[in-house]
Parts: sequence; structure tokens; C-alpha cells
Amino acid sequence: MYLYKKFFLFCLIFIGSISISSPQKVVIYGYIRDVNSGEPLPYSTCLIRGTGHGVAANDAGYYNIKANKGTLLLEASYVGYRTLVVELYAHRDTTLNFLLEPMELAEVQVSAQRQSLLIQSLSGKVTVPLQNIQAVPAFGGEADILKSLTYLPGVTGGRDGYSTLLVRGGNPDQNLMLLDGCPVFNVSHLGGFVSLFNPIAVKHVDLYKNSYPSQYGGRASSVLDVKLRDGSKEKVKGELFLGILSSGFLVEGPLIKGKSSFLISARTSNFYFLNANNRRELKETGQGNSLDYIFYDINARFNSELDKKTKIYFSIYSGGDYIDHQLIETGQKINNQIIWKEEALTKSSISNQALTLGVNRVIGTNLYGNFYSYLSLYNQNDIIEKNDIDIPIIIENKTDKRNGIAKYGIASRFDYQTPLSNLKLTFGFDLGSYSIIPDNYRVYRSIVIDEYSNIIDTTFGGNLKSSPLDFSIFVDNTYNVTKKLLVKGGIRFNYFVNNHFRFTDLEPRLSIRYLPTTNHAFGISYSIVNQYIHGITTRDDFIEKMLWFSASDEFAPQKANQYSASLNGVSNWQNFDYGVEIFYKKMNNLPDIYGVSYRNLSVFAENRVISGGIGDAYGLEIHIQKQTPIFLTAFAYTLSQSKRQIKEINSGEVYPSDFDRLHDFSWLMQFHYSEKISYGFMFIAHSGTPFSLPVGRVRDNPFTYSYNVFDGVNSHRMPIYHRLDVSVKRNWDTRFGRKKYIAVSIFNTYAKINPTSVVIENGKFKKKSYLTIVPSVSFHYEF
Amino acid sequence: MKKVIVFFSILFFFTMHSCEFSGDYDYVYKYPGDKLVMHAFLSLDTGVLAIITKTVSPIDSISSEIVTDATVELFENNNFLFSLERIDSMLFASPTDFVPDHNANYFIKVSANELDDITSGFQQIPYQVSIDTILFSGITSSTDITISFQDPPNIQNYYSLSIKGFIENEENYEEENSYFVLPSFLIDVFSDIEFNGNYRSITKTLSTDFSAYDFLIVTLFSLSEELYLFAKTLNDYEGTHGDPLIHRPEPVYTNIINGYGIFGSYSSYSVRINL
Repeated sequence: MYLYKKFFLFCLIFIGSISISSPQKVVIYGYIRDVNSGEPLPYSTCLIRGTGHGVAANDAGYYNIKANKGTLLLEASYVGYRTLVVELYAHRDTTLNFLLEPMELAEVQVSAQRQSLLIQSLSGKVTVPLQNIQAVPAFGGEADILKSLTYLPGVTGGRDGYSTLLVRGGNPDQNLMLLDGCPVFNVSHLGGFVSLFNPIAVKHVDLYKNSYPSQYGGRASSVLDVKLRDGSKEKVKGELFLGILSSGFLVEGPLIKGKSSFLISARTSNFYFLNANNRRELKETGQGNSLDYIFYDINARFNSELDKKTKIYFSIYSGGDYIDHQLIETGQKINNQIIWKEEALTKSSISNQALTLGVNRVIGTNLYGNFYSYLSLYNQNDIIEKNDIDIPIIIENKTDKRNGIAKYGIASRFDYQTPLSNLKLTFGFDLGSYSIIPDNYRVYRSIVIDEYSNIIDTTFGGNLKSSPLDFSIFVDNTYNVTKKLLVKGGIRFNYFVNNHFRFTDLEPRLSIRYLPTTNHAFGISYSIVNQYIHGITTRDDFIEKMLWFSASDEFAPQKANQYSASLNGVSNWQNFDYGVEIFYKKMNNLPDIYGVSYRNLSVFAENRVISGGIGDAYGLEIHIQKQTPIFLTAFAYTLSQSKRQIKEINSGEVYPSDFDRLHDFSWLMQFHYSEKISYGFMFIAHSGTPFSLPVGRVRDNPFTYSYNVFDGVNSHRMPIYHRLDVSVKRNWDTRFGRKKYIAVSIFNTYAKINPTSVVIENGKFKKKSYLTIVPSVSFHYEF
Repeated sequence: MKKVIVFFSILFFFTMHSCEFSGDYDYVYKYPGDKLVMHAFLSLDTGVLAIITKTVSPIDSISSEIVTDATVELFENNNFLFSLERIDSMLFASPTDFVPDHNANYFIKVSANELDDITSGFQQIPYQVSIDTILFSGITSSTDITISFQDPPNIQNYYSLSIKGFIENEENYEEENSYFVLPSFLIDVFSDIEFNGNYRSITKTLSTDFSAYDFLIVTLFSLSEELYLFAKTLNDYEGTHGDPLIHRPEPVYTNIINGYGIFGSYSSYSVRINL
């Protein structure tokens, strides 16, 4: 009750501030879009020249700015686009839409454009330029958004080749992944090597390492907000691509020219064709060894403007991974009846769906509303069968492991420009219902010998199933105290209930940005975030999987307190931009698995899941970027430490987290050799990852074979890691004025063995790795 | 075209050169010192048997693990009972007339010069589960043998199964799974998590040719939880050790304070099958 009172009092203070009378102003509002496709440009900026007053558009490209009556010079800008300046005589509220032109490859953003981006800069927030994502050499021929983010300071990817995201010492489950507003619970294919975000369909990527607007919640480390493109409203076009790992296409175009559009992209893995012979042999003879693997992605988005103020959209994602392994041997038959047969069948599937249906509406001149519903489904299923027939004995063994999570919700967000030109409010709610199966395990074992039979059919884990409810309301205010000082404060109220367990929390959020000069922005930020859905990573062979489960009395919600301070700047000298940030994050109630063998029957049934962990992470991040007409280079350096402490591990003593790296350096470079050829380089170096070395060896004796003993976790460091990835891209123009290009990339160009583990063999230390040099090629054709 | 061929040739060269996933690592390792190790088992059949050794450095193949001056003391219900007798350089045993009490709690203390003392956790003889039926057909190299038993409900049980072939009047035997070093009750352990309280049948296909033998002894072992965890984690360690994708190795379970190893207990039920 006390929390409710505090929350509503806080709201009243905000609303009360609106009642202050203000001079007569005009409101200019509208959308900032791409001139060619009509795509809105999320978080683009609009400022009034000569006043220093500017605003950022919202995620739908909608902006709303208050100004004094008279002649105004309005400037709209967005990363990768030419700035547009419009002179307007405003004597009343006016709708003004901007249509920006994309920059050519050889252009750079002048410092005035980059200065305007400082308006948006907040401590802990990174808007990832898609150009930089495309500059990162692709692993396996697949440009990957998650892997590309690892060039940013404070972001690491875990193991080589995996699309895991670890942000400022956090765990993989602590990242809120949003695809057009819908939370996604699994973001990888191929065991974690490829993420499900198809880069050719993506319009905008924001990564919040701190400074989360209060509309976001539920994950302790970061928010990755990915927006898909709407599709061109002017003409039909598309792209085909063929790579080492996968192939696919994208097609977009207008449904009604200028008003509605569609975008569809799909890709699938290439491995299915490699197994054709084995599949045929199995089908024809009834025996053989066949291994099939396939993954696929489909993204589709439909948009329509019902009128000048109303837009509806529908976004769908469907994807999955499927493994089917069959090993069958048959022997003698008598009277066509098999009297001997052995079969081992493994079917493994991971499926993901995300749907969002929403409407945006401009209400009056001061209010913008977005209302949407979403559905996210994630399921994993592993079926292992081993059946033996040796007449008269028939043995069947089947295990069926399932886990999954679904969330259905409705949410809204309203952006309100108050009568005060320097105060904007954002408020709304999110109501979601989960269905979670952390670990459902069915075992079926049958033995039949003539008249005798014994059958075991047991299911456990059903008691872990839960259907929690999650309700949040939030309010944010963005207050330009002066031309130089911006205060963004917000509060989020959470109500989470799982059976009899209720959790209510208030999460304050505060960001302050100060522009001491037009070229520098200083910011500080503080946030509290609670996480009510936990995830732990398990592994079957090389495939990483996430098990999701709900907070309860046994597994309290995770909580993170984070402080950060930053200094960002643009420099006219040599056209470089820089950012420096320090942070400290404290995390509580972290879950983990005790004993990480993948041979666990069920991590919950065997009581392997533990909770109550504490985490600390702190560090310094530096980012420098320079751009010329033919050259883009970006340096990122992170000095940080990340620690954990949990009772059951390391005897309850503090130990470094699994991917704690004191120094982490990356250097990204893109060089346009000519209009047709460009090169990309990425060099990464970081301190050795911690690992556990034995403190002794127990030798063979009549009661055991030899094994190593360990005392302490992550008490040693692997060698320094470094690798160089390169890529080259060659464009051609086709006869019909289209473009095609080939991209060749090499992961780990000089084949450095960067170990993922260190073992002792024959009295010597050996470093082991599963990846060295990986060349790849992909072909793209635009139509 | 020539440039393309040269480019792909260089690419191919790098790829072939890179097929190496392991290398020596010059790491300065400081061995923290020897610790006592005990592997000891308590049962009605054999009383207490204990192997006492010490750890050696994991990169040392020369040093001895033998402890020459160990004293091994058995306690029953926190009272000192007796010291185990040394049988050979590693093995200690309880007196032949010692029969453990089903309801008593036992622990072991070991001390040796220049090494820290170790103490085990408590152990009690587990409830014995009987074999109900055995079905098999003939004795050939591919015989299937099905053993059935009733699992007690409401308690967690842990098991292993052993099959041994004997010749009359000879002590030697051939054992299924004889290529393993471990005592038979530590091989293929399983819990009742899948069939708690139910009747359970297990079929084994014998890979050893028992046709030369006179009789089989089939034994169902009931293990303490600690013994089961030790056997399971030892097996898991074997499966994960050296795997480059395993970040944290599976530690072998121990209930020895200040040292390593296991003190576990088991009961057994055996059936003799004449061939």
C-alpha cells in the first residue's frame, strides 16, 4: 500500500508542474522519414537553429516541438542521412514532415550534424549505426547484429563465434531483447552461432547499458531495442543472398503507394541439402545413419496509414532450429517380421515466434499515443529414443524434455508535450501474462519379453509450471531545465504475481545531461531494475540453450542498481567523436547451476539450480570514432572487473565471473578503396578469460581412476586473446541498374589458437580451442 | 580471373594450415602442496575398506602418492571405535569380525605427518533392496539378462548392478564391465528419480562371454547418496575433462573435509544363477 501511495504522489508532482502558465507558443509536429522509402527514422532529431532547443523523435519517427511564433529555421537530422533545414513562418500549430536523403558512402556527417546527436546522448545509451554493423567482418558470411555489438565498449560476446551478449559484467539472461516492441526469449540459431535478427530487415538498433527509459523493465543488464523496416512505400524491391551458412531473400514494397507497405524476409540454412543421400538411403532401405539440421527465419511487417494521424502496423517473426538424427540397423526378418533391430533417434527443436499488432495515433497537437499487443512464444523440445528388438525381447526407451516460455501482453505508451515547451512526459503501462515450463521431463521405458512386461512412464517437472502475471505502469519526464541542462527522470511501478508470491517494486530512473559547450555532453545516470523471469544457460554438446523460470519464494527476483557517468564529444579537429564513461553495477539474487555437466537428467529435478548470488561490475569505457570520405575507424577500450559470490560455488568466496576480462580492446576499420571495393578489418584483443586449474591430482588406485581436484573457481587466467577479422566487398552494377556484390570474410585471419579451455595432458598444460580460421563468402543481388 | 584464382588459393592455404585446435601453453604453475586423499567404503559385506593416498601435482608424473605413516580411525556415533589395520602400502581394513550396525552413523579420521588431518562426512548403511526376478536366455556373447526389483517409495534410492561369472572352487571371476578400474558398485549408477516407488526392470546385454563359467552372481547394490554423487560426478568428469566448450570442469564430489575422496556406504543383494 505504501508503495502505491508513493507512486501516485510522484505522478501528482509531475502533473502539478504542468499547471504552471506558459507564454503563447506554437507546436510544430510531424514525422521524420526517408525520402525514398517513406520509412520513419526513429530517434531522429529536430532542433530550432539559433535557439539551442531541440527534441528527439520517438521510435516511430514522430517529433513534437514547441517554439515561439515567428520565422523559424528547423533542422532535422539522423545518422547516415543528410541534414535538412526548413524555413517556416509559424503563427499557429503546424504539421511539418521531413523527408531526409540518405548519405552516399563517401559522405561524412559534418560536425554540426554530430553535435545535434549530442542532444540524444545519455549516459549508457548507444544508438548503433547500421553502417558500423555492416562494416564488421561477418562470421561465416552472416552479418550478425549481436556479434557486431561486441565492438562496443562494455559489451562482450562470451565464447568465440557465439551470439551471446554480456553487457557490463551481466549474464546472458539479463538482456531485454525487443523486436518491434515484443520481447524475444531466445535470439540465436545454430546453437548460438547466429542471431535471429536478420540485418537486411533491421532499421534501427538501440542498446541501453544504463539510462533505461522507465517504459523498459524486467531485465537487469541491458535493453536491446531492434526495429524492423516498414518497407518501401514507393516501389517494390528486394534482395537475394547466398552464403556459406544460410541463404534467403527480402522483398518490400507498397500495398497502396504512399500509404501502406510490406516487408518480408526469410532465410534458411544450407545444411539440409548435404544430407540428401543419407536421407534417401534411410527411406529406401529402412536403415542407415542420417543427420539433418535446419534453421529458418521469417520476418514480415505490414504498415498502413489510415489517415494523416493514424497508423497501424503488424509485425511477425517466426523461426526455429530442427535437428533430426536417425541411426537404424535392422537384421533378420522371419515372415516379413523384423526379429532384430536397433534404432537410436534424436529429435531436437527450438522454435520462436513474436507477433506485434499496434496502432500509432497523433491526438491533438500535443499527444502521441502508441497502443499495441504482443505475443512471444519460445519452445525447446528434445526427444531421444533408443529402441531394441531382439525377439522375444522388445525394449523401448524414450525421453522427452520440454521447456518453454510464452508471454502475451498489451501495452501502451503516450508522449505528451506539456504546455511548457521544455517539459515532455511519457507514460503508459504494460500488462503481460506468462506461461512458463522450465523443465518438463517425460521418461518412458518399456521391456516386453513374451508374456512379461515392465513399463515405466514418469513425468516430472510439472510442478514447476507457472503462469505469472506482470503489470507495470511508468512515467518519464524529459525536462530541458536550460538550453544546456536536460533532466530525464522517471519511475516504474511493477506488480508481479506467481501463484501466492507477490512482488511489488518501485524503480526510479534518472539521467542528467549537461552541455558545457556545443561540442561536449556530460551525463550521469542511475537506475534500479528488477528481473522477475530468470534464465540459466545449459548446454547439450555444442548447443547452448536457455531455461527460463519464474521468480518465487525459492528464487527471489534479481535486482540491479547501476550508476554511470559519461563525457561525449565531437571534435572539429580530424573529425573524430569520442565518449568516456565509468559505471558501477551491483546485482543481487543471481541464479546459477551447480555442476555444469551436460549429462544432467533435469537440472531442477536434480536440484542443480541455485540462487542468491551477488554480482559486482565496474569499469571505464572509452570509445573514439573517426570518419573521412573513404575511411571509418572506431576504437573501443574497456577496463573493467566483474565478480560473483554464491554460497554453493567456490566455498562461498568471491570469484571472477566466467567472462571477466580486465582489458578489452577492439579496433574496427572500414576502407572504401573505390566505389566498387571496400575492405573491413576488426582487431580484437582482451585479457585472458578466467578458468579453473586443478590444485592436485588423485592417481589411479584400486578404488578409483585418476582425476584432478579443484579448489576455487576461475582462479587462473588464459593467455591474452587476440584475433584479426578481415572482409572485402566487391560491388557490380547489373545491366538493369541493379546492384550485386560478393563479400569474402575471414574470421581469425592469422589462425591464432585462442583457447577456450586449458587442460593438463601428459604433465603439460595444453590450450584447446574449437575455432581457428574460418573463411566464408556470400553473394548478394538487389532487385 | 587470374587474380581470383590467386586469392582463393591463398584462402585455401590458410584454411589447411589452420587445422590445429590444441597447443602447448607455457604456464607458471605453483602447486599448493599435498593433501590427504581417502576413498573408503562401508558395507555389511566387507566392513570398512579405505585406500589412503595423497594428491600430487597435476604436472608431476614422478612423485609418489603413497602415505607411509597414516593413521586411520573409525568412529561410531561420535565414539572412537578402533584404528583400521594397514593391509598394504595404500589399503586399510577393519578387523574381519567387525560388522557395522545398520542404525549407527560412522565417520573416519585420518592423520599423517606433515599433512593436514582429514575427516569424512557421516555414513549409515543404506536400506537393502532385493532382486525380485531375473530373466535371461542362454549364455552366449549376446545374452540379454533382465533384473527386476521393487523400489521403496517415499525415499530417494540409488543403485548399481553387477554381473560376475565364476568357475567352481576358483576365486577368480570374469565381470561384466571388467575393463573398468572401478569397484563394480561404482559403475553405471542410477537413481530412482524415474521410477520412485515403482517396480523396475533393467535389461543388460552381456558383452562378456560367460559360457565357460559355472555360475553367475548378479548383485543389486543400494548406495548412499554420497557414494552415488561421487560415482556420478567421477563419470561426468571423465566426459567433460578436456572439452573446450566446457568452461567450468565438473568437480568430483567429495565429503572429505580438508582433503579429497569419498567415504560412502552401500548394501547389496546377490543372486546366484547356476549355468
